[in-house]
Amino acid sequence: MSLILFWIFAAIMLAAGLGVVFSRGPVNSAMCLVLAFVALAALFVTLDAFFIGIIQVLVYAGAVMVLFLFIIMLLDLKSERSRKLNITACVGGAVVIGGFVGLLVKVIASNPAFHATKPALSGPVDDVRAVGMTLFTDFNMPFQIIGVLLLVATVGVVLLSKRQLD
Amino acid sequence: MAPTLAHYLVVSGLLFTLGMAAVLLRRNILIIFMGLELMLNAANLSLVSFSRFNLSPAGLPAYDAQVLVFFIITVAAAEVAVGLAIIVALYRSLQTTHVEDLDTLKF
Repeated sequence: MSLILFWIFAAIMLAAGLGVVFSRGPVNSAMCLVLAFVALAALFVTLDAFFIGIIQVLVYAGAVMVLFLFIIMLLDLKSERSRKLNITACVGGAVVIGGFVGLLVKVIASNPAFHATKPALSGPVDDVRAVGMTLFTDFNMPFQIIGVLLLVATVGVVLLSKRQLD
Repeated sequence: MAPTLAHYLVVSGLLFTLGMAAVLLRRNILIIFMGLELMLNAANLSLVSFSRFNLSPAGLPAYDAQVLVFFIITVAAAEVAVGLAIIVALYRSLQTTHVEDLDTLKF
């Protein structure tokens, strides 16, 4: 059962990813990206990471994609007019991607530890509490730094969006 | 029959590959940006699957990895905001989002 669910969501996610790469209009790509993010959230849920799954839907499929669509509408982008394909980029891309996938498969096939199924959990997953405890005890300092980073990003965006940059 | 760690890692690798293909093949800077998001999400998927398949001594998933995913999502959100602001500024001054038209710094 869990294998069937895994394949359904993985297939949806990869098909939507193909849609991002190969659809002509930017709005179509953005919609495919939303679908990929929602399917990825479902994959997180199959891994018992409920909190991360919900954050994925809220932040990515919600906030980030609304921002993307907003910018696409704002710039009023037309569909990409078909230019001649850059042969160097295609060949280079195929070599890099083929090498990466080949290496990944080789590494995964080499070690039997990658072929273990999910170990059984000792109890119910209380993951909002557990993530919160880890975040505010072991990772308190990085958490503060992330807060400063968000502040800097906000100020930077406001500055960048002002009319005249001088 | 349940999916193994290898299943999740291969799917995550394929998602990363799609993101990289978008960056290498597409010429619209917004689509390139979407490809970056796909690559970040592929990294998130492998982190969460490692967290589920390597339990902590208490027998629960290793939550350090999920905290790292939380940080990655935060940084990605900040990155999207700044990147899109830069794209808007670029469009204002050059009226294009095609990377081939942006050759001011080309040697």
